[in-house]
Parts: sequence; C-alpha cells; structure tokens
Amino acid sequence: MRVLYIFFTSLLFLMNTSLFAQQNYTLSGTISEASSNETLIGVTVAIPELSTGVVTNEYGFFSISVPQGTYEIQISALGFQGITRTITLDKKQKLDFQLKEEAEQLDEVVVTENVEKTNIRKPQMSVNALSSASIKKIPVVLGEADVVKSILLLPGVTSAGEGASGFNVRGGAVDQNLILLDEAIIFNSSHLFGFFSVFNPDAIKDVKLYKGGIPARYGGRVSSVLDIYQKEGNSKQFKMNGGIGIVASRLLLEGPIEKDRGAFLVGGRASYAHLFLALADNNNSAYFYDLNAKLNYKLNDNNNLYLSGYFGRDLFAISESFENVYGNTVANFRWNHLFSDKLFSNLSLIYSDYYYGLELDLLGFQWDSGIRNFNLKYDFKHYLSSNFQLNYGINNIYYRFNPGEIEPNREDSGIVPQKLTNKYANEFGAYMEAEHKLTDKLTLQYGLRWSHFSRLGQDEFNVYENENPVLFNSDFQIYEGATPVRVDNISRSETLSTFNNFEPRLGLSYLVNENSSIKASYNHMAQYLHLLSNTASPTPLDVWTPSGPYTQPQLLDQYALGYFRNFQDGDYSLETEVFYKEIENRIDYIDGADLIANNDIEQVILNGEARAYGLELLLRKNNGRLKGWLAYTLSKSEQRTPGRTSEESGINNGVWYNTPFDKTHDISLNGSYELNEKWSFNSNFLFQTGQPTNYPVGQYEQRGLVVPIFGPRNQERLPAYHRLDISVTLTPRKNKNRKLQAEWTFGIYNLYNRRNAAAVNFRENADTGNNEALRTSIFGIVPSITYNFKF
Amino acid sequence: MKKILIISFLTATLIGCEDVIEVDLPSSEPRLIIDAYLNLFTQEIPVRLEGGVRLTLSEDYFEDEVPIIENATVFITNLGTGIEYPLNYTGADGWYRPENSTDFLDFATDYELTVIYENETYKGTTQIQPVAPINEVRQGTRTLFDGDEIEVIVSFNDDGTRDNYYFYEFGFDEFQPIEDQFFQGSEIVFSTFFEPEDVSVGDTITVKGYGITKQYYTYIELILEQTGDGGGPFQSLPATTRGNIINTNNFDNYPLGYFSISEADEEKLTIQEL
Repeated sequence: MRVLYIFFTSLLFLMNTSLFAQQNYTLSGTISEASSNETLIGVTVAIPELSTGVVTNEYGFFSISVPQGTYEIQISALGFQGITRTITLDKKQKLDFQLKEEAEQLDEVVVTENVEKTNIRKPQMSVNALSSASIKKIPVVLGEADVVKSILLLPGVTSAGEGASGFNVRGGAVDQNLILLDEAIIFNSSHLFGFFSVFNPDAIKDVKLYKGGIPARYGGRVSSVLDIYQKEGNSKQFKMNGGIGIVASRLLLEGPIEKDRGAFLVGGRASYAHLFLALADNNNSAYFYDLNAKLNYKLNDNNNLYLSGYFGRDLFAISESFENVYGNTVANFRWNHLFSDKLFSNLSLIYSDYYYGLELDLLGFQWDSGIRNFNLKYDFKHYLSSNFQLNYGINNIYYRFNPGEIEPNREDSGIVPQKLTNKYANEFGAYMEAEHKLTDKLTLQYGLRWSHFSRLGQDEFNVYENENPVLFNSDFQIYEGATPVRVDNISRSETLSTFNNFEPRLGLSYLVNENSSIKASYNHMAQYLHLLSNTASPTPLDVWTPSGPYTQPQLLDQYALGYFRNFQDGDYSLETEVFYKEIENRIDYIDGADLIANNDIEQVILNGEARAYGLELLLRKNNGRLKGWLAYTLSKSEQRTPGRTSEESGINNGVWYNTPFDKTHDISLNGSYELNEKWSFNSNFLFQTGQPTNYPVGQYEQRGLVVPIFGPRNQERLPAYHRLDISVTLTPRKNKNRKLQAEWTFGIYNLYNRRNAAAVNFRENADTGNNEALRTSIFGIVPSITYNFKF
Repeated sequence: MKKILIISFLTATLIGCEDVIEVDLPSSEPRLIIDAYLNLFTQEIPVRLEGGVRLTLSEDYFEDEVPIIENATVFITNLGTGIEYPLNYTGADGWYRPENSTDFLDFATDYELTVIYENETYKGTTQIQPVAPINEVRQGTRTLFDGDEIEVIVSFNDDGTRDNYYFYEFGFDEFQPIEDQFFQGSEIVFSTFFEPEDVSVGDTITVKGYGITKQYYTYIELILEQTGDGGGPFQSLPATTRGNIINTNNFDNYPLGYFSISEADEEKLTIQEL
C-alpha cells in the first residue's frame, strides 16, 4: 500500500507543478478521414515552434495546451496528405481536421506513406504498428491477408508453425497474449487451426503489438498486448468492398445512417465448405465464417456512441460421426464523452464468449465448453499540459468458465449426462499512468496498476490434505494426483481465494540527437488466467482456468533497453532492443498429465517458473518504390519446475528446459516494390530455428507394442523452418475513371516447396516391423489468386 | 475417450502430408523391462490364464530386436498368506509363467512380484481387478475415415457401485482403455474399427476385456499414446512412463514395465458381409 501512496502523492505533485506553470490555452478536436469521416488513430499534431505535439487516441481525439500565441500546426499521418495551418490561440479552441489519402490525389504513385516509421521521441518501446494497407500487402498462404500472419514477420514474434493457433511473443506462451478487438478480449485468435485469424482484414483500422514496456492501462496477460481497432463505418457515403479467393471470400458494406453523424458497417467472411481437397471425396468438411457489425452515432460534439458485434464459428466434421464447432462471440457498447477539452473518457460494456463444442456420434455424446465474461471499462485520458498527459481508469471483468458438459445426443446412447464443475472469478483493475516530458530530451512514461482477483465459490470444490493436490511418489519418482479428503459446495457469493498485485510500469526515452534515441523500460504484470495446454501446439480444445487456491497467478518482470535511429530523413530506420524477463508461477504439467475433460485439473499441475532473454533488430526502409524490413531475433526461452521439497525431483528433474517456443534465431525479410501504377511485387523470407521437441532415446516392448523411451524434455529440435513467399498485385489501368476499383493478387506461398516439419513422430512400421521417424508437414508450395474490389 | 477426441486433431494433420525421414537419435543405457500381466478368464472351467512375465532389455530406438533375458529368478507372493509361487522360464522369447491359474484369484489380497536379475531385486505390488462380462459383440455398419473400415460394437454393464477401469484388446495390436466416468452404472456401448487389410469377411476376431486399476489405466493410456502414429503437432509432451515396479537395490537403475493381474472375459465374432 505504501508504494501506491507514494506514487499518487508524487503524481499529484507533478500535476500541481504543471498546472500552475503558466496561462495555457487548449486546442482540441478530432481528426478523421475526408471521404468517410472514419476517425484516425495515431495522427501527429505537432507545433514545431515549441517542439511539442500529441497524437490522436483510439477514437481520433487530440488535445494540446500551450501558452497564448500564434503557431503553425502540422498535422501528419501515415499515408495521408499533411495539413499545415497557422492558428492564433488566445482562447480555447476546438478544431476538427479531415485528412485525404495521399494516393487518391497524386497521379504518380509516389510512395511516401511511412506507415510504420519509428517514433524516436515517445518513451513507448517494444511496440510495432501495422496498418491495414501493409497487412494486405504481405503475401500469405492461400492469398488471404491476415493480421496474425503479418505480425509473425516482426522481431520477437514466432508461432508454433503452420496449423498452430496463436503466436508467441518474446519466448512467451500463446495464452500470455492479451488480444483486444475494439477493447474486447478475444480468447482464441484462430480460424481453422491457425490457417486464418479471426480478424477481418477489410474491417481493421489499426493494429498495435506491445511486446514490452506495456502501459499500465493494459493488464491481465504477461507477454504482449495485441490491440486492434476496427473501422467504425463510413458516415459520408455508401461503400462496398470485398474479395474473392480460392478458399474464402469476404464482403464489407458501410454507409451513413445519418450523414456525418452516424454510420453502420457490416462485414462477413466465409470459407468454402470443402476447403481441403484431400478431404473432399468423402463427407468431411472444414470451414469457418465470421460476421462483424458496427453502428456509431454522434450525439453531439461531446458524446459518441458505438455498438459493435462479432460472431465467428469454425466447423469441422468427419463424415457423420464427428462434428466440432468453435468460435468467439463479442458484443460491445462504448460511449465516448468529453468532460472538457482536456478530459476524454470512454466507457465500455463488453460481453464476450468463447465456445467449443464437439459431437461424437460413435460414442453418442455432445460436449460443450467455453468461457464467458462481462467486462466493464472506464478509461480517462487527461491532457493536462503539452508536457504532461495522465491516463487513468478502472476495469472489472466477471468470468464464468465452463470446462465441459457432456450429454447423450441420441436415445440409445449409454452416456450419463455429466458436467465438469463451472468456475467463477472476478478481476478488477485500476490504473494511473503519466506521459511526462521532463526536458526537451527526456520523456518519461510511468504508471501503476492495481489488480485484484477473486476466485469465487463453486460446486464440488476439492479439499485436499495439507491443501496439496499433487503428491510425489518417491518409490517411482513420479507425481500423482491426491485424493480429495472432502468435496465442498461453496456459494458463489463467497471467495475461495483473492490475489492483489501492484504492477509498476516505467519507460523513458532520451533523445541523443534529432535522429536517435535511447529507450528503457520495466514492467511488472500479473496474469490470473491460464490456458491448459500440454501439447506441442495449442489447440482450440484447450481450456482456460482461473487462478485459485491451487494455482498461483503468473507474475512477470521485464526489462528492456533499446536504441532507435532514423537515417536519411526517416527513409531508413533502425530499432534494436535487448530484453530480459522472468515469470513466476508458470504452470507446468506433471508427466502424463491428461488435461482433456479433467475435472480435477489441480491434480496434474505444479507452479514453476519461466525466463526469456534476447536481442531484437529491425531495419526498415520506409520510403520509395522499394520498401520493407529485415527483422532478426536472437533469443532463449526456458522454464523449470523444481521440487517443492528436497525429496521431490521436480518436473524434468527440476532443471531448466527449453519451452516449445524457444527459437534461437528468427529472421524475416519483407520487401515490396511498386513498379508502376499497375504492378506491385511483394516477397517474404522466413527462417526460424526448429522448434524444441522430444525424440526417443531408446525403445522397449510392452504387451507386444514397441514403446519409445524419452530423455529429459525438449532436448532435440525439429529441422529449421524456412520458406519464401511472393505475390504480385495487378491494378488494372481502367480503374482510373470508374467507380469500381479492382485488383488481382497472385501469390505463391513456400516458393521452393520446402517440407517444413510441423512434427516428427516415431512409430513402428506396420508392414516391416521396423521403427521409423515420420515427418508431418502442412503446406508445400501453394499458389493462390484473389480478386479484390471496392466501390 | 481421449483417443477419440484426438482424432479431430489427427485429421487436421491429414491435410498435410507425411513422409519418413532420417533422424539421428541419441542412445541410452539399457534397462530391465518387466512386462508382467496375468489375465484370468474366470468364466471358463478351469480358469484359463494368459500372459505371464516377459523380461527383456531396452535398446536403441532404431535397432530391430530387443535382447531377451533367460536367466532371472521370478516369483509372485500372496502377501496375505506369505506363499511364494514361482514362475519358470518357458524357454521362449523371455516369457516366465506360473503353474496354476487359481493361485491368483484372491480379490482381497496384495500380490507382490519379485524379479532377481544380475544380483538386483525388483519388486512390484498389485491386486486383481474385476471385469464386467461382455454382453455382446456384434458387427456394425458405420465407418470411420475411409469408408471401408469394419465396425465392431462391444457392450457390457458397468458396475455402478465403484469406479471401474477397463482395458480392451482386439488383436492387431489394437487396445482401448475405458473408464466409467461418463457411464457410471450404465451399459457401455462402444465401437472399434478394423482396417480392411487386417480383417476380411470370414475372419474371426476375438475381443478381450480386462479389469485394471486406475493407476494402470493412466499408465496404459500413456503407453498407447506414445506407440500410436502420434498426434502430429498436437501430441502431448512425451515422457518416459514409469510403471509400478522398483529396483530395491539400486534405486536409479529402475526398471520399466508394469505388473497387473486382471479378471478377463472374451467373445468371438466372425465377420460377415453386410
């Protein structure tokens, strides 16, 4: 508590000093796109004379307070024509600006949209931004633009490979990423086992990935934050765009409800039922669809309302015997309110759920599981002065976890209906963070988040002797589940356990000269939810579980230091960072843990620890016909679970072992070349050290079967992963003077047809009786063609 | 059930392709392997005994054969009465067998297996586990993936008074462990599928059911998971599975394998053209 007290008193002190400094006037407003009124995120509003400026927030709002005077205001953004205007500030002023897209105005495609240009002044480090335009340019398998596949090209981001859900950031696990879609938490970001992500590329406005130095306004996950904002809809005119591909098609409609005040947006995507030709000859199918719907309405200058919904499902069926459905549902209401020209607020009410269902006709049952949450967020952005901005807010999330429910699906089924016990929890967070420009060269960002987690009462709560659900069998040197001494039914109004954490965040940037800066950051974070997964790649079936009496929250400490430099007027930029992080209470699974339909999950998990460190390098060419980047990461990611007492061996004998997402070298090279108005070319090259895995060190026979013997965990590696992709976009010239704008994208994924191993398994060959190693690879060379249109 | 759930992911990997590759594998020190199971068919007179104790050594993974052990001393003790029952070497393939099946039918006692090999003594303890008699084995018409598998449907009545664990054997190295978690006290009906290259019309298949302990159920599930074709990228982190036998002299030189005694039942079925 003392820490919190000191923090708030010093904040008040800082606020006072800045408030009483001078008579200031405030310029505030909203910046939007000229043709659609779509608000723009991250637009810079600069006053060069005072060498100060702000950027617009997630709702396009900015506010800057400066002494009385006449200033030149420069407004600039990614891919838009800048505006320079002279303004006399002698009273507070509200000014909205509209920016025009650059390409629309110029005859020649002079590419100056430095979309992801490095911002060397802001203390925020370890963050990567991608615009919807650059995501769409990146060649991907099957021709479908994809957010998650795009961020994999950034330093410090890897995935378990083709066909694996999610992504790993700086050696962290998939469940340690906070994925926000219009402020709502998304629990599974993948369609079709990771071949697609759940985000519709046409609807995306802004994507930011925070890998470190995570601001205090975010909490609940320890590795990264992927913050995605979708378009709100065009309130000027009706627009339609879409694409037709080999495996999926999409359509997006947007238009005004009331001109310049309200707009709607509806988008949908669907893949074709028989996506995989290999499965098409019998009654198998695999497909997904998703739907985005949004409404926004401007009540008046100070109030905006937003309503949005997302619904996505994957369906996977094998003849009539097996059917599997899963997906996210999100509904979201937001209210932007300006208390004053300096105080912006957003209130969000969010419902989200993730559902997983399985129907297995052979055994005659239907299986349902999921996680559901209600989320209330109230965030304030307080633009106190040009040197000092304060953000604060609260967040409360109520969770209901349904680990599984089984019931018979036909009358002659022998299945007895049964329910794994629902779990309930509440997570509360309050934060305050400041961005504080101390001198012209030194800017600080500091904040504190208080998080409070309650695991609420439930039915069938297992009580163990000495509160120990996992016993060590010293005869066989193995861990085993204990037998509960008692099973209690505890009311939901009672609390099983509570956790409190104070999470300080700190960042600083020091401007060495106009073109280079040094940044440093520290963040401490707590994560109360865990995704139960002990497979080499995460699956949609993995179940989330809350911290509680037997599972501690994961606690992270991360330190990062970086050097940032722009060359040749920002044509080139270099970002280098080193990071070190430690995570306490990373759960680990005892050997042979069975997580599926396990009602006593506490009996198979132990709390361990994890650590990761590495070096990241990102060199970009931001301007010109040829653009692109080279990203390189050298890193290490390990975990261990020592014995709780000196008699216990711990998991893997208590020694550090590689996590499945430890990739020593990770290189990605991305380039795009605009030949002329008609043709543009894109290419990716990726190289990653093979994923850690287990190979047998011996064999023995048991009941006539050949059984492999395994050594310590994750000692071997799969062969290195690499591939080259190319794509060509053709924009027909006849587009110019007509309403319909169209383009064709031709792509080849994995050009040299490398058979990258998704797994190597070992088995006895049924015919020869000899043992052999079997490689599974997902995609060889995959050509694709997509037709995109808008009018 | 787990196995069936995993099918979904197996199938996901079917869209990719599989090929056999060369891999260099590390070696490990050989260990004693004790494959000890006594299956007692109590519905037959006299009670038939299958199984015994098979002693072998572990070997490097890509070797074709594992070494067999012919010179060990093996006996089982009824810990209630203290009587030792010797198992004698059969002269073939590392198998040691007892003389009388009826010596192991006491459901109220612990049985201890002792193996003495190269001056080290290995011991494991178990109890005989009851089985529910098979109600019926019949042929079904459903298929699994390719549309030409042969379905065999097995049913039995679970004993609702206790948690039961069963282990089914179908031949062709096909096994299925079953727990009654979702079937407590009801009739359990399940299907297994034979590949057409293994079984054709006119063949007789034998379905055997065994009662096993919870610990053995966990053990054999892991063994089966590791010996299957593997779940591709969705296979769980493999680990060497310790059984229920220890080395009483040299703790670290532990054996692998399991000692179990099961009540057993079997039914035969001749495959017909449907």
